Parts: sequence; C-alpha cells; structure tokens
Amino acid sequence: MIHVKGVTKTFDKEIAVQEVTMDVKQGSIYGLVGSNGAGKTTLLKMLAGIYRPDQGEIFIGGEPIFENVAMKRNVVFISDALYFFPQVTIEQMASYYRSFYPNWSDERFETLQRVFPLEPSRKIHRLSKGMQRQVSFWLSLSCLPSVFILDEPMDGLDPVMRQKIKNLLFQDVAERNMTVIISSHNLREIEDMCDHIGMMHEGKIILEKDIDVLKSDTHKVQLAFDEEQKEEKILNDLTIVHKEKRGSVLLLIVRGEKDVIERTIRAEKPLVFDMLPLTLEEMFIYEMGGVGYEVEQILY
Amino acid sequence: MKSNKSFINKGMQKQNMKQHGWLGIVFFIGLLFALPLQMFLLASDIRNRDSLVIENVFDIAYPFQFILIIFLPILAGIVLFRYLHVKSAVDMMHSLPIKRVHLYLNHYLTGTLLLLIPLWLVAMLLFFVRDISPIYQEITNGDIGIWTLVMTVMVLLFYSVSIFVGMMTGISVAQGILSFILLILPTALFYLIHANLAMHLYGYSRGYVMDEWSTYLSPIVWLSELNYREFSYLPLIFYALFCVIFIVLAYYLYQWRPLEMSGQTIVFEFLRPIFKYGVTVCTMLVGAVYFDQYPHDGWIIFGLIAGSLIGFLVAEIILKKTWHIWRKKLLVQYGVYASIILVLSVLIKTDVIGYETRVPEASEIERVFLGKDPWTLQDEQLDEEDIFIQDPTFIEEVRSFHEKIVTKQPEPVISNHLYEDSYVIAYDLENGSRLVRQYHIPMEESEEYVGSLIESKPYKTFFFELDRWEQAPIETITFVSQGPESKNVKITDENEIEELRHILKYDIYSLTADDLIGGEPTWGSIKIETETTLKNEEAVYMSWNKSFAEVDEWLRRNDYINEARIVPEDIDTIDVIDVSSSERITYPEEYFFREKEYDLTEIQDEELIAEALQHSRNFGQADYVVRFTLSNHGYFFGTLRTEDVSEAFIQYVE
Repeated sequence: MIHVKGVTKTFDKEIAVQEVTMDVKQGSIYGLVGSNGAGKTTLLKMLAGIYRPDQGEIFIGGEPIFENVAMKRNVVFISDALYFFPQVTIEQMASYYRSFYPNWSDERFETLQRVFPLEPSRKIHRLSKGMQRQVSFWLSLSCLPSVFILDEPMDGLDPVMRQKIKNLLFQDVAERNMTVIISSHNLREIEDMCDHIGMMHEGKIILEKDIDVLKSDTHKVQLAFDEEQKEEKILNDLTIVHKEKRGSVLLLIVRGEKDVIERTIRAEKPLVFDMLPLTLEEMFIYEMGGVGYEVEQILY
Repeated sequence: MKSNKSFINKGMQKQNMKQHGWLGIVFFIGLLFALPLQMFLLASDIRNRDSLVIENVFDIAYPFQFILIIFLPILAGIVLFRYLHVKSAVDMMHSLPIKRVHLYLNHYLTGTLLLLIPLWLVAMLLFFVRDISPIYQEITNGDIGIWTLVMTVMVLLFYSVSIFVGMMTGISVAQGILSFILLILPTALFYLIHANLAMHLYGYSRGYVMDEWSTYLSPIVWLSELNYREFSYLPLIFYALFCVIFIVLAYYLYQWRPLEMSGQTIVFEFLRPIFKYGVTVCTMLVGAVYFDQYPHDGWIIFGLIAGSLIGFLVAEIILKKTWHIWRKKLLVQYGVYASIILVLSVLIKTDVIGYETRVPEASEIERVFLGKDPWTLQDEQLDEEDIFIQDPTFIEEVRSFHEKIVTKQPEPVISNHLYEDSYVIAYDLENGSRLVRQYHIPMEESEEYVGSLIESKPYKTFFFELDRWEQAPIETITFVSQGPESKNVKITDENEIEELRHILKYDIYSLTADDLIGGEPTWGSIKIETETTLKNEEAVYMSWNKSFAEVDEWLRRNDYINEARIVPEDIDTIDVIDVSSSERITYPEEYFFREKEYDLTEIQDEELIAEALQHSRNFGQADYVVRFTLSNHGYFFGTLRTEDVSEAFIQYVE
C-alpha cells in the first residue's frame, strides 16, 4: 500500500530524513518509534503529501502522493499539533471535512458520537487538549480513510480513551482493511497494537521488523540445572542471543521455535524451567545485538 | 465562468468568509467614513464653501482614502494567507485533498470578494450622494468610473503584492513590512542611486530625473499624488499588468514553497543572500546620502561603511531571528561584499565609461539647452521647442564651454550654494538620446567659463523668455520695486507698451556677463502679461536689472521713475563700511549689527548716493557694504565693488 524509496529531506542543511526506504502492507498497523528529533514527524508529513521529499519517491496505492488529490482523498493525517479554525464548532469542522473527503460518512459520524461523549455544537477551542484529540479522531475516522497517518496521537488521552481509540482502529483495520501508520517516542505505548515496527534514529530507519515473526521467534527462558554439563549442552544446542546467570539460575534469550526449544530443554530435566513473555522492548534490545547499546539509548 | 467553477470549493469559501469576513466589513465602514459620510459633512459645512474645490472623487478626504486603500489589501493578504505561516495550520491545510493551486485560488478569491464588494458598493453610493449638494456638481459619472477603476486596480495590486511577499516569507509581520518596502523600493532605490552617483560623478545632475517615470515606479508614490496630479491611464495599465505578474509569480512560488520553513523570515534559501545583500546595499546608499550634508568626502565614506555594516548585520539578525549572530564566516562575507563595492567605486571614480569627459561632437548634436536649473527641462508646461536652441554657433559655444569645464573641473563651493552658479547643459542628439550635465561654478569664475555664452542672443532669448512676449500682444507691463518701499507702476497704454517692448529688448541684448552673474544688481522685477498669459499661463517675470539704462531713461522721461523704484531722492544718507578684503558677503546687514567694530563713513552727497544706489548689489564679492537710510527712516543694505564706483567715491570713503 505504502512504498517509500530512498527518501531524503533536509531542513536548512540539517538532514531530517536520510534515504529512508520502507514498505507498509495494506491492512497492517505500522508503528514508527524513535527518540525526539529522529525524523518521525518529517517522514509522516511526507507520507501525508504535505512536504515534498528532496530525494526519493513515496507511493501510496501505486501513485506518488505529493499534490495527488485523488489519492489524498483516501489519506487522513492527524498531526501532533492539532489545528482547528478559530471559534469553530465540531459540527462546522465536520462540514468542512465533508466538503473535501468524498468518502465522508454522516452515519459514521453519528455512530462515533457514542464513543466520544461530546456535543457536536460545542466550540472546539473551549475543549481540553485531550478532548480536542478526540475530536480529531472523530472527524478523521468519519472520513473513512484507507490510509490513516497518526503522529503521536495518544498524547493527552486518558487510558480509557486510548483503549477505545485502539479498538476503533482495530475495527477499521479488520472491517475495511485500513492501513495505519502511527508514530510514538514510546514503544510501550503502541506495542500492543502494531504488527510492524520501524525504528528511526538520526533520520534513518535503523530497524524494521514484523512483530509476529519476532514474537514467535524469540523467547526468554529461566533455567536451573543440577549439573554443569547439562547446562553446557543446552547452550550448545540452542541459538542463544543473550545469556545471564543469577546465582544458579540461568536467564537465556533464545531464538527458535517454541516447541523445539521446550523439547530440547525438557530432555535435560531442568530443576527450574520457565518460559517468560518478552516485552517488545527487550526483544529489540536483544535482537539488535551489536547496535544494542544504541537501541537502549533510543528506547525508554 | 464555467472553468472557474471547478476550483471554487464551497466549504472553504464558507469557512473563509466566516473567518475573515470582518475584513470586508471594516473596509466598507472605513470607505463609508472616507467618502459618503465625508461628503455629507462637507455639504453641510458652509464655512469653507467658497474655498472648496471638488473636481473629482480624489478631492474628498483623500488621505483617509489613501491609507485605507493601502492598508486593507495588504492586511487581507496577510490574514487570508496566514495559514502558510502557522505551523499547525500549514500541516492541516496541506494534508487536505486539494492542490496548492486551488488552495491559492480559493483564498485569493475570498480576499478579492472581501475587498472589491465594499469598494464597488461605496462607488455605487457615490452616484446618489453626489446629488445632495451642488458642490459636487463637477463630479461626473466618468470621474466616479475612473476612481472605481483606479481603486480596483490598486486594491488588487497591493493585495497581490502582499500575497507574493507572503509566499516568500514565513512570518506574517515580515509579510506586512516587506510588502510596504517592496511597494516603495523602486522609487526609493532610484533616488538613492541617483543621489549617490551625483556625489561621485562630476557633472551628474542631481535634480534631473528621467521625467515622472521614477514616481511611477512605486504605485504608492503614484497613488499619493493622484489628488493633485493629472490622471493618466498608462501607469494604471502597467500596474494592472504587474498585478497579473505578481499573481502568477505568487502561484509559482507557492508551488515550490518549502512548507516546513514557516516561521523563517525568508523561506526560500536562494532568496536569503539576495535579501541580505539587498538590505546592505540600500542602507549603504542611505548612509552615504545621510552624510552628504557634510562637506567632506571622509564623511561620505564613513556613511557608506557604517550604512552597509548596519544593514548587513541587521539583515543577518532578521534572517537568523537572534542578535547572537557572531560567526567568523560573516567577516569573510562582508569582506567579499566590501571588495566588490570597492572595485565598483574605483570604476566609477576613474570614470571608465568616460561619463565625466564626454562632450558630444557638433555633428551629433541636434539642439542644445543651457539653463540654470534642471527643473526647466522637466516642466511639462514648457514647450521643448522654446527652451532648446538649434543655432549652430550657439551649439559650438556650449560645446567649447563644456569642453573647458570638463578639462578644468572647477571645485564647487560646498559651503554656500549662493556663491556658485549652476549651469545645466542638455543636448538632444541626432540618435534621439538626451545627454544632461550640471555644473556648479564658483561665482567669480563664471565669467571665464560662460561669459560669452550668457551674453549671446539665443541664451538671452531663452532666459528672458523673449519668445513669449517679443511678438505677442502685450496687455500690461508692471515694474515692481524691491526693498522697504513698496512701489510699482503698471503700464497699460498701448503706445507706451510698444515703446517699452523695443527698449526692453534692446536693454536685454545689451547686458554684459557681469550684469548677469552672481548677485546681479536689480531694482526689482518686471512682470509682463500678454493675451495668452492672462488666459491660462503664468505671466512672464524677469529681474529688473540695474543695467537696463534705456528703460530707466524711458521711465524718467515719462515721469514714472519715482513710482517705479527707489530713486536717490528717496535716500537721506548712506553709511559705508570698507571691508576691502574682496570677500564673499552674504548678508551685508551683518556688518551693521556690529557697526562699532568698523569705521563707518556717512555720505550725504547726492551724486555719491546716486552712484552707490546705481551699482549696489544684494550680495556677493564686494569691497564695501552700504546701508541706505531713507528719508522716512526705513533702510536697506547692499554691497559695492571698487571697479563699479568712481575714484571720487573711493577717496571719500577713505
């Protein structure tokens, strides 16, 4: 659905995005993480057709997105800094969007009112920051976009509302095969919703992973054996990414299929054996190996 | 209109009107106050009824109109395109599925409606309000039409310029300021360059400007003169054309505008050096002009350096938006700039193009003008046929004067312009071009350079405007005396006028260079009214030279002399101070304020008084200063030179 090829963007001689290449499949939720100033926002604004890339190409649905009205009708972007016209009400803003997005659905707008407990006749500027965010989701989702680009969208939302919005996104992805690109400086905030993660640092994507593959492929294991040999055998048989010993307990991050690992270990009759869930963060840190130090700097 | 419909986005128009509609209302109310309301007030005010002249719409509260017509369109450009300068608005508006060109056109359209609807409504009101009072009877439908047309073009031009500038900057305040600068810059720059060239090029005429052209360069300057200047369509057509050019340029700039640069003073990188060095050049020229008032080249150089340095730093501060701009690179940049300017100044000073020394060949010259000031050349009322001279001998004389002066290049008298004679030479060349030079010659050297020229018939014909009265039917000749005694004689008798016409002509042709140079001795002025001047022209005025001997004789013979000017019989005594240093004297009375410091010689001898009166001048190089005391106790002052007075006078004073 989204195809980015060698995109570079420079601001006043400072490189914001450097030769980024990425692909996002239709119906997937792609999470873009990275520290402040990593270039996430710039990349997203280029994806939304706002900024013109200095080099490289961006295609959405096979067409270049910049100044492409037909394609942009299917793309909705929520910026990290929201903008509403002065003194405008939710209703008026809705009618403004209606005049631009042909897919706009009044039905959807009304349905969503159940999720967002706000009066459409209220002036947006009088609302709190979190409520304004809700309005932006409400309006955007009513446009029935096929590509939804979100820049730090969870800022200022309470946990209940976050969950509601995540559910709405899942629903649209499932029902309408919507593609979502979402950025955050906090991996934990979006790890439970993304199926792909791209990590940006200093303008480059330093890591891009399919989370399902990652999850089925990497495991955290706690072990204790009565004999040293058993331990060594295990270490030789399995692909170990990371090893740590705390007293007699061995903590391993192992790559491989879950069944195979379990079988191999059980065969040696361990005194203690636990397979623990791995957080996305840990996965990245261990996965990165050599660049691990860098990753630890990025994630927090 | 069909093709237009496709770009109009109703949702956007509705939102724009809702958000920016106040502009239209403010403009409408402003115009109501400036015109219809003002017209009611003027009509009901009977106090100034007689002095009030209202010939067209520009005569009604014009300053108020002028301010509205400039400010509102520029403000509209700022307000409507503010979405380009607010970061969050930039993102929101450009994420919408609409091309930039349509965003541009829709916003342009809203602004145009908000400006033109109030303007045209008020124009329509004018048709009705005009009938409330007879003082507006001279305003025709055509006048209202022209006013509406001018204002429409100007409003759209200012609005378009504001948008054009808005596309280049990322700050709304900068948009406003730069729009004004851009609108005035062409004229201002023209004058600055002009004034600077005059400082450095010998013979460059500071006052001579290529006709009105330079004020046309700035629409604001042109508009500011509309209430007293003749209206012409040509500049208006040019402004309309420029309006279109700005609309198109703004469109292309928008296409290439880096949106992420909102908040920067200048968003296009390639424009930043142009801005920086443009500001530097302008302030440099201003600096030089500012210090030109001091008679020393050092000050002008100081002005150039200080001006350019200030401009360079200020431009950098504006671009970087901080005053902490110090970097070594700046030194290099300024150094390069200074070197280029230095090379340019050397080129100008050494006169590589031969500007200072160029004297056209006689064969190139079609006709020539010699006058005292450049304004005569630009006076629309004068017929060029009358002021230019084709006589080959005269052309040759002007040429040799010109050659002499460019070889010798006498230094002008900087400290006091009274002591220099200014001469403007203009050649109309065979190739259709015009070459104009102006020279300032110290009074004492004038005779050496231009003596034979100003004694020549063609020059006197031009200088005393003979062609306006030599043949024409003269109605009156008036002699007006200067000084404390206001005397005058008006001759209306036909026979007397005929006599005078010939006598005056004879006297004029008899004048020597000495009679015409510096503080020429005069009795007062002579005013000649002809049939034509009485109708629609200014009368002919000339100095009443003391050397008009035949005129004097005629006045005496016809018993007019006592009424026409001061005569020796009016004078009781004169006091003379011998200053004998032959120095330049501007105000002879100054010596008498401190009379105790000098030896005063009182003279009561009638013959000596007559002599002093006949030869005294108003100012200039002199050996004596004189106070004339009238029998009615009034007095006046003059200067005398030893060469003008008799041996008896000199001895008496000694």
